[in-house]
Amino acid sequence: MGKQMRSEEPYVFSRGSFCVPAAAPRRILIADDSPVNCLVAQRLLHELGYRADIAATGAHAMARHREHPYDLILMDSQMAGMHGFDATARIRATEVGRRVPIIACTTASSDEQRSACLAAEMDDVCVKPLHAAQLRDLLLLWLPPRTPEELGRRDADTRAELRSLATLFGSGFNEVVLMFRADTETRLQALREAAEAGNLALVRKVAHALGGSCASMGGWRMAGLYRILELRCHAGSCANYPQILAEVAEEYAAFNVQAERVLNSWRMASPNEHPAPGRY
Amino acid sequence: METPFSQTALARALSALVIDDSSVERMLAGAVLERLGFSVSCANSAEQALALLVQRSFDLVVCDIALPGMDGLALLATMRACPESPPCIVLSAHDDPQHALAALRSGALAYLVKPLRLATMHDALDGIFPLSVTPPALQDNSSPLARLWACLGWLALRRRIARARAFSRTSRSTAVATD
Repeated sequence: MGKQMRSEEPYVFSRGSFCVPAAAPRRILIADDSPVNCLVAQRLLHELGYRADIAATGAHAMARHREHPYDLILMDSQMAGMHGFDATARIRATEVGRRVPIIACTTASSDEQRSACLAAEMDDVCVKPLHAAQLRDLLLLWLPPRTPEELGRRDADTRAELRSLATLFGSGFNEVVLMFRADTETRLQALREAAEAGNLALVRKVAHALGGSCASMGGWRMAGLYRILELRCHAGSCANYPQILAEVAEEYAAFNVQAERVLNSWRMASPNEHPAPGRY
Repeated sequence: METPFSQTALARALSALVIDDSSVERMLAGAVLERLGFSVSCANSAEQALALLVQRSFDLVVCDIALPGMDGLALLATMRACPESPPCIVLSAHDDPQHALAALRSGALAYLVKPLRLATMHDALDGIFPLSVTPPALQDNSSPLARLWACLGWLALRRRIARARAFSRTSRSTAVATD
């Protein structure tokens, strides 16, 4: 049942085929009329290992995307000339099949303004000024790994984060992981019940709490999915919550595999494990 | 004058109260604060926190905004109405200026976005307790490398504070000279 629901939905992030030999570099477009913002975003993406093109106007962005489709577009919502919302609407109008994730970059941060971005068929909102951690979370969410190498790198990042938590907690780390699991499962149940009852305010609240604890444990992609659910609820619909929850479940299982690996190595070799002082 | 390492290490531990309804978040914030030399108590709601605050005093309060029942901002307002309320740090998953502003207006001294990092908490505390920065309390079972790292970090921080003080002294004296 879960498989059938995950067809061409915007919230479906398939893990990708394992037989792709080498990853084609991801194509990212930054549409912003401020050259400084463009350069900062480009530099931050470069640091994260991505190459990005720049478009100075909405029309330019549209033309570039039509010529050679991008994997992700970071769109300033208030550009001179064609507005980011208009450009998004036009891109969506000409789109067939695959839906490109368009992320609104905005200085506005109220819930209403975020909802307006979603209503304009953008997929996500990030608040300026951009910073590296925020971009990394966005890319993890919207550009999921396609190859074993990418998957391996992501898992290694998760383990590094968990190991640094383990250095912080010392012998209490085991307990923290157990508590995280118990907490997540209780809240997930509450989330499902609230969603089935159509109680959007409660879904939003529970999703927010879940997102916070996932981010603390290094489950960044789960945190991103909860954030999307929160955004969607505020915009007034959680119609595709089953897809998001299915994604969350998949991600939770993947996270637990990494947590188990870290726990095992921690139990076996904690005196020899090198701490990660840079993180904690 | 620099305080010797051993004396600072023996100084009375500051007490902190962590308020969060998620047990994982409480443990994380608690571990970070313990690492920074605090003795930590926890509460899972604003009501429970107020009950604790009536019984005893704390040197620091760290609270979340989204809490069941009374929310974090209301808690801050209530605490500010009391005499000798401890300094507050708000720790929230809302990464936007609106929530940060609301928290600061309610009397928080710092607004930190989850996930919490040791370095961010350290910087925030540095602003709140500029003269009483304690070295990280190290567990006996931590590796020599971790101890060395922590000591170096602590010494670097002391140097930074000393430099900042020296700078403020010189800038004050030049200001006097130009007068």
